[in-house]
This record gives sequence, C-alpha cells and structure tokens, in this order.
Amino acid sequence: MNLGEITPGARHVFAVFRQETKNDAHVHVGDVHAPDAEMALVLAKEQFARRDPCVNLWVVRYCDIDATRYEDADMLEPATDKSYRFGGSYREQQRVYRRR
Amino acid sequence: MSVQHDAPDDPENLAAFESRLAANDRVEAGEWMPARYRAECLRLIQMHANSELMGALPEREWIPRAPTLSRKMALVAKVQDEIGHAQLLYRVAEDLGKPRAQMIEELMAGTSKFHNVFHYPAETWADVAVIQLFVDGAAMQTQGSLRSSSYAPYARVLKRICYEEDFHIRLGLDNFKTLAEGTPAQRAMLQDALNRWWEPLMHFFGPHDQASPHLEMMMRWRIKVKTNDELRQQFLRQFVPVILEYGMQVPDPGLRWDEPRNHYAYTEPDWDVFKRVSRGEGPKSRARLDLRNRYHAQHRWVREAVARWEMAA
Amino acid sequence: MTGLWAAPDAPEVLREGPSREALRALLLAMADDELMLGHRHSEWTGFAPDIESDVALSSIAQDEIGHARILYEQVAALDGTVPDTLAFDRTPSEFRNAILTEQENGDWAYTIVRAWLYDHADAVRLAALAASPLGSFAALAKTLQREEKYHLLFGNAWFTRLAGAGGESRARLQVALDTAWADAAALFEPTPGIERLVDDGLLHRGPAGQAALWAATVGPRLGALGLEVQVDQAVLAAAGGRAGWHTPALTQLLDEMTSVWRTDPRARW
Repeated sequence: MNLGEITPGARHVFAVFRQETKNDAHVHVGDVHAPDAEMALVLAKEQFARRDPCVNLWVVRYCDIDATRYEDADMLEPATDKSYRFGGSYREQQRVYRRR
Repeated sequence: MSVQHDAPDDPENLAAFESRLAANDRVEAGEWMPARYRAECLRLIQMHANSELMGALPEREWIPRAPTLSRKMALVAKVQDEIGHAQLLYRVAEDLGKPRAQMIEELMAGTSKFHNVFHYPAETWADVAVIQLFVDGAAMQTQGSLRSSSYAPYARVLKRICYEEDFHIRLGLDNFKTLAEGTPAQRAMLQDALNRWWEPLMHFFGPHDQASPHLEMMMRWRIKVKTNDELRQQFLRQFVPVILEYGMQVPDPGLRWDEPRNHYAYTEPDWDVFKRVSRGEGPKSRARLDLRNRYHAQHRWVREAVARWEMAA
Repeated sequence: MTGLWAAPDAPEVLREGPSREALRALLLAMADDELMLGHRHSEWTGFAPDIESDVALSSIAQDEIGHARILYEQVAALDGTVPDTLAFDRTPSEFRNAILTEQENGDWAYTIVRAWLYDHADAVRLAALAASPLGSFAALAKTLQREEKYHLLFGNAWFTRLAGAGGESRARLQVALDTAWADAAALFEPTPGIERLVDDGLLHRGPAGQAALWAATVGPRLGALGLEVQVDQAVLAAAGGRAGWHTPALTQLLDEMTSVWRTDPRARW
C-alpha cells in the first residue's frame, strides 16, 4: 500500500523522523505541509524539535512511502512456536552462563 | 471527497469492525471503517483542530502587552503550542478524507464549528491566567479521556497534546497564583475574569447527555469515551479546590460538594446561551472569524506563490 | 557587579569610564534591536500565512526576546537594575534600536525581507563579537549565534521561494526591499564610542567594516535572485535610532507593550 493513496496532497506532505541521540534510531514524530524537502526540514525543526533536543531530522514525501496493510498484520506475528529463537528458552545454559 | 453519512456499509465488514473494537483494537487511517465512523471522527477532529486555531486568538491579543519579558516569551510559547496542535490535528483529520486547505476554507466560511469557549472576549491580563488554567484545564479532561479513542492516529497526537497542555496549566497556575497573591487591584482583576469565564466553563463540556442510539454508538465506537457530565465533574473536582486555595470565589452560590451523591452540585448554566454561541452567535464569534478571514485574504498572494513554487519544485 | 565587566579576563580599560560606556551602549543597542524585532515577530503568532511557518516564526520571536533579555542582563548589571526595567521603563527616546526593527510588520514580504536583512546583519555583528579576545564576551556572542543560525535558515528558505515564485510575490519582495534597505543599512550606524572598543581590541571589526561585509554578503545574493537595491547615502546619514531618534511606530509599540505593566510598575506580574 502506498501511503499517498490515503493522504490528500501526498506530494507536499512530508513525514518527519527525529533522531534523539546518535545512539537512537530515527522515529516518525509527525508530518509537515511544505512545498519541497528543504522547506519541510526548516519547518519540521520548530514543529517537532522545539522542546526536546535531538541530533538529526529526516523528511520523506508521503507518496514515497510504501507500507504493509494492517489487514496483513497477522503475517507479522509468528503463528507457530518460535520460542527456539529466544535465549530465554535455554534455561540450563542461562544458569551456567550467569554463574560465570 | 465528501463523506456519505447514509452509505450502507457492507454488513460483514461492519460486524468484523464492531467485534474488533469490542476487543479493544484500534483503527488506522488506511483501514476499512464504517462511513458513519469516518464521518463522526472527521467532524470531531476537524472541530478540535478549528478550536486550537481559533483558541489561539483570545490569548494572542495579550502577547504584545505581556507585562514582563519572561511572561511574553512564555505566552508566545503557549499560543505557539495551540497553533502546533492545530497542525497535528488537521493532519489527522486530513487522512480521513478532507484536504487541510478545504478545512481552513470551511472554518473561514463559518460552515464548520469551533468550540464555544473561544467565542468570548479576553478583556484583561487576568483572562490570560483564567484561560490557561481553567480553559486548558477543562480541555485536558476531554483530551485526556480521548487518548483511549479507538481512532489510533487521534489517540497518538493527543499524547503529545496533553503533554504540552500540562505546561499550559502549570503556566496558568503560575499566572493565577501571582495575581491572586498580588495587589488588591490584581486580585480584583482576577476575580472579575473568573466571574466572566465561569458560565463558558460550565458550558464547556456541553449539556447533560441524553440517552440515545447516537450516544450509545459513539461510546461503543470509543469516539466518545466519557459523558459530558462525567467530564464536568472531573473538572470541578480538580479545579474548584484550586480557586478556593488562593482565596478566590467560585461565582456560583449554588456550588457545593454533595457528599452522598459524591459530586458537585451547581446552578444550571443558561443552555440557551450555549445554543446561541454554538450557532456562532457568541460575543466574539463574528469578530474572531472576520479577523482570521482578513489575514487569510491578505496572505492569498503567499499561497499562490507557494503553489507556483510547488509546481516548479 | 557581575557581567562581562567583571569577568576575570576583562581588561583594565573596562574598569573605567569611556570604554565601559561604549560597551554598554553597544549591548543596549543590540538588546533593543532584538526586543523590537522579537515583539514584531510575535505579532504574527496566530496569523502567519501557513500553520508551520506560524510555529517557526513564533520560535524565532521567543529567541529574539530571549536574546534581548540576556543582553539587558549585562547592561542591568552595570546600571544596578533588572532587565524588565530596561525593557518596560524607558521612554521612546531612551531606546537605541535601529529604526528597521520598530517598523510595523506590513505584509509577509516585508516581514521576510526585514528578517533576512536583519539576520544577515546580526550574523556579521555577532561574528565581530565572537572573535573578541575577551573570552566572556565571545562566549555570549557564540550562545546567540547558535539560535541565529536557524533564523537565517528560515529567512533564506522563505526569501528564495518568494523571489523564485515571480509575479506578484517577486514584485512585493522588491517593494519591501526598497522600503527596508536604507533602514537595514542603518543597523550599522555607530553606537557612541564603538571605535574605542575596536581600538581596545574588544571588538574584532568596527561598524564601517561590518557594514561593508554585510553588503558584500547580501548584495550578490540579491543580485543572483534578480532583485535590486538603491544605495542612497543621504538616507543612511538620516538614520538615528542609535541616538534615540525614532518613528511614531516605536511610541505606539511601547504604549501597547507597557500598558499592563504601567497599571502598577511596582507589582509582581
């Protein structure tokens, strides 16, 4: 699904991603209306970074974002037992490992 | 895109939607939703956005007159937040099917509403304190409850909005306290503001809810989370003590805590006034819209320039 | 007495009359500029052409008023008063801001042109302070520079787009430029004793050098955008904000700005 399909004027609506510190990933915090990407960054700064400091901002046009469908959300959750992927499933090893 | 109120929804989709909401699931912009649900969410959020944009006006009149440098900066920051909230909310409303520019045009034309409380004048500096503390305090009740709205994009922006409203209320309390502990003239100005704002505040949450299929549906769909009376009582419980603590008067001789019924009893405000104001016949309804229209018209060439730039970009 | 004057690295000259007075005059003029422009920007809060720019300009307004306060603190430390007294308890002729900053907002084109010209001038002015060998002085300038960077970004973004859109937009920009240019050049009208600060080594570059640097920065950029400016030395000579000469716009601004405070100047607000 292209997010431009649900967003009116998607070419001039930019998603804003904010990176709090270099130790963090960029997180979507909202959107701005702007004629182009440069202006979107200028405007995003005060709408989304005026209180809490951050180190970096990204902007992306809505029409350039593709997304999965919420109808398919079940696909994003494992259906069968995948506990073997998690360390917590190996209790004995954990006990030995922790003791060291 | 116009929203059809009576477009029949596919019964299977509708049943699935109802059971999802019953299981506490939330709705995202691109998902299927009943036409009625879309229309109600859009109406609510568009009006909320309008109210933030128009709600900036009474206080902004006092920015040039704020009596200290720090009051001036804080007031600009506060009004700026309201404009920022309008930005967030129009964006959410937009994805329900109406472009932002169209919503602004509807506001200008008077065909979409903004909240009753913003149809009143802000006559003195004390009005700023009362608006920040009590109007924002009232708004916090509604907005706080709607953080559990079923419409996820709305619930998400309300988290940030409530975070900022908390600053407004604290700022308001600081302003209120300064005047309440100030000179006799400052106290008198504060009491006068409180007297004038009390009825609009009692109107804030709307009339008593009447049981109806519409109300039942709004609650079931979690577009409305608490009743008007619940919110009003919540507001009174939080803010009547604040007024009394600073030795100010609640301008309602009928207001008292009713212990057995565990709520505040109060004198009914005049609901005919409420209806008139809702129709846009409040003391400042016309003037505020006219002012906004004047600037909107003044900026026409800017919008055209931006549109030309967009084409070129 | 605290402030720059008392900084450990403050030179001997700042402890006596003329240099100290010259520094006070410069800081007061800068503070008054920032307060007036911040006040004018804040008049747009709620009424800018689009919601996002409304938020952005409101931040810039807060920054400028905040800068005024920081600078007033320095002057107040010397005078034994407080920033709010300097802001609220002076007559128009006691203000030392350049006339550019007190003018009414006019349209969005004038607002952007004024901000753009002012922020470029302020950048030159702050650079001259930031290069001062007096560390505390330079540190203050660098603090202000950090926020001015965004003001320039915002001004440039709007300025280039309004110019690039052509038609009425460009025409309005040219009219605004014609109106603002001479007032903007007068930002470099010398404050009393400023050359002494250069001689003392406290200021890296004097007003004439700053004005030339500013003109060399904005001139070519205007040229590249196809905008023109008329340089009229006679108008420049008629400046006077730094000597306390102002337009009725300042009287009106101060009347409004101090209206609540004046009801009881001794009250806490």
